[in-house]
Amino acid sequence: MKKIFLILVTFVCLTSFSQVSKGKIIYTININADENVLKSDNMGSTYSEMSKKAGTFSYVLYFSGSKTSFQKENKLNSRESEQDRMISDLASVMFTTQYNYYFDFKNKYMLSEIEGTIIKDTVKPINWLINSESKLIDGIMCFQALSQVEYLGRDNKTKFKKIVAWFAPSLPYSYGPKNFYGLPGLILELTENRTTYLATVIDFKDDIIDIDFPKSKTVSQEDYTKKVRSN
Amino acid sequence: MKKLVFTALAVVAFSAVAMAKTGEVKGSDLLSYEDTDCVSETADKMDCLDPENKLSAEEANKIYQILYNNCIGAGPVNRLTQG
Repeated sequence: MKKIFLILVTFVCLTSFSQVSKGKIIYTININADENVLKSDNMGSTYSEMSKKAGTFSYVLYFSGSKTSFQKENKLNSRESEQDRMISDLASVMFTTQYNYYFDFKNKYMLSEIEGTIIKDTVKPINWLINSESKLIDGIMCFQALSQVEYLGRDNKTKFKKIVAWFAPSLPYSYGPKNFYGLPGLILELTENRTTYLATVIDFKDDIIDIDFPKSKTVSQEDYTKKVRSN
Repeated sequence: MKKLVFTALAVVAFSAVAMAKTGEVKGSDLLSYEDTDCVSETADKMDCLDPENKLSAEEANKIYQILYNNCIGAGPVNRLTQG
């Protein structure tokens, strides 16, 4: 009996130590454009350009131990005109994100960086509802989880947006795109409003990944929210 | 005397030049620059982009700023107007 117990403990320890704790995930973007806005005379063509542009974006999630970072992959384009830059900025705000996210799950804090401002907040649990829906993503079995995010609308009313995530229990990393985390497996696909983030490159690494957190002065989430609301 | 004659001739010559090619301008040919009302224009664009008010306050502020700056940067609009 003792021998069996020792063998079992050894097996568990070996499997724990053999789990890779570093990696890089690339998420590509798919936009489900609003047909009514596409048809509008005033902004239809601009909106079409924005949604197409957003579809060319890709984001990188790095994780190493208990730290992660999520940011847009920079694609240098020296030929970009002022109009192109405007479309790109509009696309980022409307469909994806202009934020870079950094998580330290061990010390339970996160940083959100935008245009030189660094907002510090605690890591709070996300209420996920895991259901029995499943599908294969690139041959990996994934299960569905739902959540909702509360936000202040531009009409000053409190609103909620639905989040649909597909996570892979076979990849035991509780990370995902943007500031979504906390599922019992890596999030391979996540839909927020009209945007879907899809993991297209999953690269586990043996070598060291340095996740450099921004070191400038931070503001609290509360202060930043007040500043946004005052604008 | 010479100075007086010269001055008189200069005045006459100047008057003739000043009145040259004076003609009636048709009202329909007047061209003017009008300042664009960027505040209204941007607000209209925002309503087109987000007719159901789904954008967050932060997203709306940023998009508004981008569109407004683009409108200002475009300068006054060259419009044909009735005289």
